[in-house]
Amino acid sequence: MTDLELEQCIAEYGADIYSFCCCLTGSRQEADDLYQETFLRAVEKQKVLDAEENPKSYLLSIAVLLWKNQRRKAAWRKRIADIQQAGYAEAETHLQENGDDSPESRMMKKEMQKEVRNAVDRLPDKMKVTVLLFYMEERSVEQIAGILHIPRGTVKSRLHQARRILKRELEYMLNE
Amino acid sequence: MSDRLDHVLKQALAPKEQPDFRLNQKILNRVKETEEMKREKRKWIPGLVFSLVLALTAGTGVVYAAYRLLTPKQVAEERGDNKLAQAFTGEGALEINETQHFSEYDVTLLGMTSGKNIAECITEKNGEILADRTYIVSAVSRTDGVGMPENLSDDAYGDMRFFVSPLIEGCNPALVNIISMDGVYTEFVQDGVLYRLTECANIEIFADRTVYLCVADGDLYNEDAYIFDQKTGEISRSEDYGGVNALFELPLDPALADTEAAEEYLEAFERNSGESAEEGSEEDAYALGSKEAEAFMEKVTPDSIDQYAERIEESVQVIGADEDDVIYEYTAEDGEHLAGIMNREREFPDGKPGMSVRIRYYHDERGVESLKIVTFTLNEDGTVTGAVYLPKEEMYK
Repeated sequence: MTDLELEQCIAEYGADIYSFCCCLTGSRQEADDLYQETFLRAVEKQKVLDAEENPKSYLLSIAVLLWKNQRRKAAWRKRIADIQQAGYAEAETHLQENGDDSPESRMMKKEMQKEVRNAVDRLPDKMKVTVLLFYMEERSVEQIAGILHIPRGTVKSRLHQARRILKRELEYMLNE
Repeated sequence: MSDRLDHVLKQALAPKEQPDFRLNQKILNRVKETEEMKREKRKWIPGLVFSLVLALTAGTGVVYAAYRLLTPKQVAEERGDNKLAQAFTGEGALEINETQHFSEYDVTLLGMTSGKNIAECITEKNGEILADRTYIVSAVSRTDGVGMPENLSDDAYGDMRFFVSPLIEGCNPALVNIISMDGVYTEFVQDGVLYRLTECANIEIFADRTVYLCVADGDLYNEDAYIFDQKTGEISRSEDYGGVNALFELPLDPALADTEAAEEYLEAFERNSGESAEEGSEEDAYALGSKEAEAFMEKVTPDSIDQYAERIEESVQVIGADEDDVIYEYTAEDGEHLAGIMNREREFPDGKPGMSVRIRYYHDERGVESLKIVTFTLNEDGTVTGAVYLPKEEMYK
């Protein structure tokens, strides 16, 4: 990958990958590291990220793999000493605002979205990753299966189980 | 409600965070830096580690390094760090040039220097610059005259690995080593010699103890290669070890020791490692549970399941003969939600009645005790029975 291609790749997928990293790690600092390592690993592998191969899925798969590996290493945890919930906290300031734009409405939306993100964060890791790939990164079941190296049925099962849990957790919100 | 849930999730999880432009610039810079250095790589020690060595028999003996090796200053220059190059010739820098021989490799400790802000290349941790550092230069060459591969890729070095780390007398080297010292290294090959510039927290604070440099096979500290005497705190080479296990004593000036800082460092390290051990023990418990559950499940087949497990009658659900890709769900007594997707082609590829060999199971760190087994059975009339089994106590207790 040339420098220009890397720049294009960052410009096109950077925000999506970064958001994913923030939600996976729950911390800006860890997200910064994971995001950086994801692109560096992609360059290191010297794989040509062409449209046909779906570079976004490829980058997501690297991010998931690195995240899993790093979680296993105590060394990583030591390096990331100052864990903050910045990933979510800062997200609040970038919320998309549409429809009713009154301050009260915006405040409610922010609160609701924070609740939803927190509920997703509480899911077991396997479900959380699947939910983020599906809803945040809009990957298909097949693409998720490819990214996580699991059968499609497992993806469906995880999504289904996650939905059940989230329905229960967010029931009050969904019934409003 | 499902549509509403999908909508809420999509809205709440839509990507909103933007990476700081400096972060993107950092990635581009690092890639450029790597390209410029061509054969050189810079890595966090806990990451993948490159290099050598699969020597079969260890040798011993110390001689002076061959004249052809680069000096620490030249190594720093080669890395493009002129400030560090100057530091290697400045006050307090040590040119050591000690070589230890092994059957296939010569390992040389070329020199070291320590201090605050003595390098152009900055190392950060959690956004903070690590200013007070020790830099150690070592070299490895093959004894048969064949050059080390210039291409430092994992492929070129295969499974040859090389762990370089300061070790401190009195501290368990399996715990206190380059990884706990915020280590980073760069390396490159010139004229067939592999040079490594290892950087870590300033180790001069330990100068009133013996401080070693180990160079051994492996990605991580190699416990087979060295002996740590817990009584005396001394670290030594394991003479029986068959690979590379170089061990140098760093000639630090004891006057530079800072006992207070050293104790503080070790206390902080013990606190951190205690936390890690707790985290690790959770993982270990789960791994143990997995092992137990997997061993049990190896015995469970469609033919033997009734011998090892008991069906929960309340869990039995019959899926219609014309239904496919159906999600089977059951909430167990302990509240655990179990699910499995019944796809006829996958479960019953030959269409023959009987239990599918794809037996799913779930467990937690308690192992077999927590095991729940989900099965699908194709009936004669084309319907499929989904059911959950629990292990029979007498079969595992």
